[in-house]
Order: sequence, then structure tokens, then C-alpha cells
Amino acid sequence: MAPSPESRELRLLLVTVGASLAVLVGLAQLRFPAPGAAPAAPQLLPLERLGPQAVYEDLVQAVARTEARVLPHIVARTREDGRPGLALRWNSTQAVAWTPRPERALGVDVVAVERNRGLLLVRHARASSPAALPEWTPEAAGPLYLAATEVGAAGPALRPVFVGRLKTVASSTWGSLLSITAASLEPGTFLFTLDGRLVGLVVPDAGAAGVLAGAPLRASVDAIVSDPSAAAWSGVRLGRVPTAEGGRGALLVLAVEPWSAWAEPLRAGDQIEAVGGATTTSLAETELALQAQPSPRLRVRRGGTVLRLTATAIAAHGLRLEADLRGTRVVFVQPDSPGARAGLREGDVLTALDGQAAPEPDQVLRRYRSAPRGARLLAIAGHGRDARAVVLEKP
Amino acid sequence: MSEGASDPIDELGVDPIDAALETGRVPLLSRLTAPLRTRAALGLEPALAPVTLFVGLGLALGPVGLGALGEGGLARLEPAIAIATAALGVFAGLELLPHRGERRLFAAASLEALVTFAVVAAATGFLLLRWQLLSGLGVGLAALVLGLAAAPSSAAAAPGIGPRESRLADLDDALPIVVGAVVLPAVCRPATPPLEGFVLTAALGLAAAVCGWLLLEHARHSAERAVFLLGTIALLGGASASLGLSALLAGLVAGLSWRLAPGGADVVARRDLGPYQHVLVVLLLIVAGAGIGTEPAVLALGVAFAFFRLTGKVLGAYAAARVVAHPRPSTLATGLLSPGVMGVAFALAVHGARPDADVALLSGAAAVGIALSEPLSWLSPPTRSAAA
Repeated sequence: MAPSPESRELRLLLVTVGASLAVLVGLAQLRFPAPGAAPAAPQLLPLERLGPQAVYEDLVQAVARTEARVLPHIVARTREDGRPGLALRWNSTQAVAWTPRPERALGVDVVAVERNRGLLLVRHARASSPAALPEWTPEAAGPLYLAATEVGAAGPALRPVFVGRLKTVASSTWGSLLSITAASLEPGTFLFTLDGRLVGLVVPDAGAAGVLAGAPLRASVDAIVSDPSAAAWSGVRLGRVPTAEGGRGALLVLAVEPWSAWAEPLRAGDQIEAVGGATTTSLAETELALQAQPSPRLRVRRGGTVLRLTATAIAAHGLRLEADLRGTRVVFVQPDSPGARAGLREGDVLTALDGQAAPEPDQVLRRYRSAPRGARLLAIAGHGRDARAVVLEKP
Repeated sequence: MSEGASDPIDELGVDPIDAALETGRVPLLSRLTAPLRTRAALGLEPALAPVTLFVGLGLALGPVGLGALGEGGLARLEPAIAIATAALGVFAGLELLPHRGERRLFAAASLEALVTFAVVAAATGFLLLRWQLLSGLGVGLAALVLGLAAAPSSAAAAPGIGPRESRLADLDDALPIVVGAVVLPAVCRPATPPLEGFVLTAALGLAAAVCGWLLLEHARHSAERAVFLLGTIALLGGASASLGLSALLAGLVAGLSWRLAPGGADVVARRDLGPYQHVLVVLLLIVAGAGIGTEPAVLALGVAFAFFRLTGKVLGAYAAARVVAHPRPSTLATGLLSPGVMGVAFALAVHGARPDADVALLSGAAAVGIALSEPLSWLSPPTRSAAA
């Protein structure tokens, strides 16, 4: 007997329900890895997708945490090229920095300068002494984010930089450097890891930039401190006369900066035979002697003539000063120096300084050096109807 | 086996297209190709778009395939998807109002959709609970999303499918669209209270409909009307996507409002939107296919979706047959198996509202399931031949 339509429909329904239950039980036996159970493969996010991702917020927070640790160690200063710069506190009174113009490192904050490479030691006036920064051990690494110093509108700040690769390489100038890729960093920038460890100082090297890591940086600073020739410069570039035997030749004046106390008596090409009556042998000792006050007498050979010379002026902080009957005459004003900012011009005569009439050049120098940072010294330039007030501000 | 003279198919006479097709013993090859020929013959019907073909095309073009439609491209298409979804809602709204004597049919369609929704939601919810695949979205909400994506049907054109079965498939969109408007704001991040989201969506649809109606009624030229209509649809889609609301319900309310409002807004909407219907459907299917991921869980959930949708449709057809006194529930079920593009649109809307891994899994599974549902509907035996 053929089944009725109703029974056929009912059978179809029952088969469907039964098959469904069987499939459901079968599918329920399957297992899949839980979300997040497998370690995710590293994925580099394009920049356009970085914004909405949590990783961007994480980066911002990490930089903010690093700023709290690192910025107490950073000191703002004006670089020798006039641009804002930064220095890293090295000890309780001194900080280290890099300058593109070491020959102009004359500011009162300069303790010592390494003229070949541009490393500077400067004074800082921060009273509190934060805990020492740990150093990052140089190792081949990357890609990673580091925090780089920058001078923002509100002072020193950190910004994240993406460093493609860090690798230790040899450098003829610096000994060893960390080479960096995929990051545009200006020399003079300090780098830190996001957990607040010092990576190093960005320095120029053979047309590119490298990172002078913690240990080499410390060695360089120690060398500056221990090398007297690196102390504040007299403005006289010294060298030696080449000899055929390869030995040490006589001391030779290569150049004299116009602000130097020796700008008037010394000329490029002079051979210095003796300083203060003693025959000179050391370039460093001669450099130190040229800075001394009162000025020593030099025995100098110029052409076939032997001359005995003394500095006719005092050089201080971008000013070359000579004695004048009415006070101190300004012979040279270094651009961007405190004197230039105060409006002093060559030929001005300082007839009074901070209440003292007719100051001698060495008195001007002592008064300026003894003034605290930020002090404003009132001077009178000129006399009679030409007299005008000048305010020397000590940076 | 015999067939009663009261078969509703026979009451309306033999469909000329059915007559052109083979009605005797169907060889396997003909059985496989017959739906394609039928769909080609009825190519103007949007529901007859070969879902599997376009979803597969999207998969081939998408990130896991050739990559021609990458993630950036898909992101740029999101506004178009929102507008296309709103346009589909308008189509549904224009056709929603039951004709005279169709109240029982509407009730039957809604009951069938409810049963399908319940079966798919229960089964996929159970599986998701067992598989522990979700990391943030609740299993209940995920099951609701899959159930709602499975519930709509397309008016199939297989041999044996008559006007009543097709009409049932037309009318079963309404309930999923309305419930979807409650679920979507709850899935969206940040979530909106469901009732508030529903009211907002309806208000948005009504406001846009009133604006559109005023513009359409005062337009002097057909070109003006077309611009006003497209502008209104863009407003519906864009505002819904921006607010995390259901563009389908907003469009449905607008379409229904135009249908009820005096004047010819509904006629204009049918005439001017009609040419874009196929394009919008193809766009939705391709985008849905491109969004399918390669995880095994997507495929497994998609298979479960397709299978339990089939089960739900069979059970729903039995329930509906009781309401409309249809003598052959299996015939009714055959007419309901073709997946509705409304389900695809809803899955894409959910993904647009909450683009995370959980929803990507659900929308991918829905796309796979919908693509698999169409071949399942082709394999359903045409009952006319058995009855002949």
C-alpha cells in the first residue's frame, strides 16, 4: 500500500529532525583553538592603521612614563649655533652635550669642550639630584621604539622614534657606535629605552648619524675632564710643524679667533718657542698657558724674527676687552654672545659696570664671572652725551 | 503517490516557465542545471541572483583570494553597503503590506521565519557555547545574529514552486527585519538599549520618509524625483550606519510609509529604484564573500548555519502549512530554502556596527552558510514531477 501524503510528509519531518540532532551532536565534538590561545605572529601595522589601535595608546603611555623618569636628568641650554639644545646631567654640577660649533663654545656654562668631536661638559644649576639613570647594554636589536629627546615649546620632551635596527659598528672618530636605520635623528639627541635606560647620544659620523652608547660616552667624558687642553679654549688653534723624520715639530699657530685675547699679537704661521721663559714641548700645556691670567710672555718666531709678545686684551664670553683711560674698551664682539645680545659694539668703552666707575678689563671679567646665572649687570657704554645704558645678562 | 486537485499550484494554472522546463524524470545533470536556467529565465527577480556564484566571486576577489578587494577597499565600500541595505529595506517595505486576503499568509510567513530563527539560533548558540570561539560578544547575541541572518528567504523558482510559496518567501522578511532592528543596537559598540534603538530606527525611517515624500510629491520632473529618491535612500543608509542602527528597518519603515501615504511616492520608488536592485544585491553578495575568513571555525559554523537553516525551514514550513492549510508542507519548504539577501544585508550591517573578530566570524559564517544554502535548495526534489 502506498503511503499517504500525510505520512510521507511526517516521515520527512522526522528524518529531518533526526538528522539535525545527529549533525548537531557530531558538530559539537569539533574543537577549535580558543581565541588568543595561539601566539600571534608578529604583525607590523601600517601607520594609517596605527591610530585606532590600542598599541598607539600603549606607546603614548610608555613615552609619558619614560618622560617622568628621564626628564629630570635633561637640562636645556642654548647651543653654540644659536639653536636650543639639551644636555644630560652627568654629575651633580655638570652635564654632557654635543655641539656642532665647538670652536664657539665660549658660554659661561662651558666647563670643557672636545673640539675635534664636539662633546661638551657644561655646568648646570639643578639643586636636586635624581637617581642615576641605568644604561642600556648595547646589543644588536630591532626593530623597536625608543624615546628621543627634543626641545618642545614647553621645554625638554620625549618623542617616540621607530628604530629599524641597532648594531654595533666601528668608527674611526668615535671608536664604536651603534648604527641606526630608519630613524631621522639629529646629532645631540639623547636616546632612551621606553623603560628609562640610557641608550646613548646621537653623534655625526662620516656624513651619517650613529649612537654613542653609554660606555663609550662615559669614556669620552672622562677623557675631556682629564685632558687640560679640552678646557675652555683660548681661541688660538695650535698645531705642529711637520718634520721629515716624523717626530714632533715646533708649535705652530694655525689660526687665531677674532675674539681671542691673542688676536692682536699672534698671527697664523707664528712658531711658539717658549711660554713664560720656558721652552714649550706640550701642546696642552701651551693651550692652558694661553688662557692664564695674567697673560704670559711668549717667545715667537715670525719669519726670521724672534718676537716677545704679551696678550694685549682680555677675552671673555665673546668679548675682547682692552684697557682704556676711561675704563674698558670693547675691541671685538662675538655674534650671539651675551655682549652682542646686550647691544655692545666694537669701539664701545665701558665707563661703569654695576656701580664701579672706569673698570679695568680684568675687573669686568671677574665681576661677570662671579655673577650668578641669570644676573643682569648694568653697564654704561660711552661717556658724556653719547653715554647709554647696557644690560649684560648672564645666561 | 497522488496529488489532490486542490493543489494551489494547479489553481493558478501551469507556469509558462515551468512548462518550458523538463517536468518528467530529471537526470542528475539537468537537475543541477535546471535552477540556473530557471534563474536565467527569471533574471529580473532579485532573489534569484545566484548567491553561491557571487559569494564565491567575492571570496576569490577578497583578501584571502586574489586580494583585488582588500581590507582598504572593503572599508571604502562600507557607505555603499549601508545605502544598499537601506534600499533593500525600502523594497521590503514597499512589498510588505499584505494584499487583501493575505493576512493568514503573512502570519504563516512570520511563524515560519520565527521557527527558522529559533532553530538556527538554538543550534548555533549551542555550538558556540561548546566551541568557545567568542572572546567578547555574548553567545546569546551571536546566536540571535545568526538566527536572524538565516530566517529570510528568497522567492525560489524551482519546479513545483507556486505563487503562494513565493509570496510566503517574500513576506517572511518582515519579522527578521523588525527583530534585527532590536538586536543590532545591542551588538553595536557602544551598545544602545534595544528598545531605544528600535524606536530611534523607526523614527529615523519615518522622518526620512516624510522628507522624501514631501520632496517627491513636489518634484516637477522625473529627474528631480530620481535625485530626491536617491538622496533619501542615502540619508537613510548613512544616518543608520552613523548611529549604529538598522538600515533595513529604517528603509522598511520608509517604504511602508510611502506605500501608505497618499500620492505616488511608492510608484516612483519602485520605478526609480528597480534598475538598481540587481546591482545592489550583487554588491552585497560580493562584499559578503570577500569578508569570509580562512579559519576552520568559519567553515564549520557556516556548514552548521546552512544545515540548521534547512532544518528550520522544513519545520517552519510545517508550522506555516497548518496556518494556511497547505496540503504539502515539503513543497512549501522547497520554496523557502533559497536564502534571502536580507540575511546577508543584516550580517553585513552587524559587521559594520561592530567590526571585531567575533562579528567577523559570525558574518563570515553567515556568508558561507547562505552560499551553501542555495545548492541545498537546488538539490531539493521538485514535487511536481512526483505528482504528475
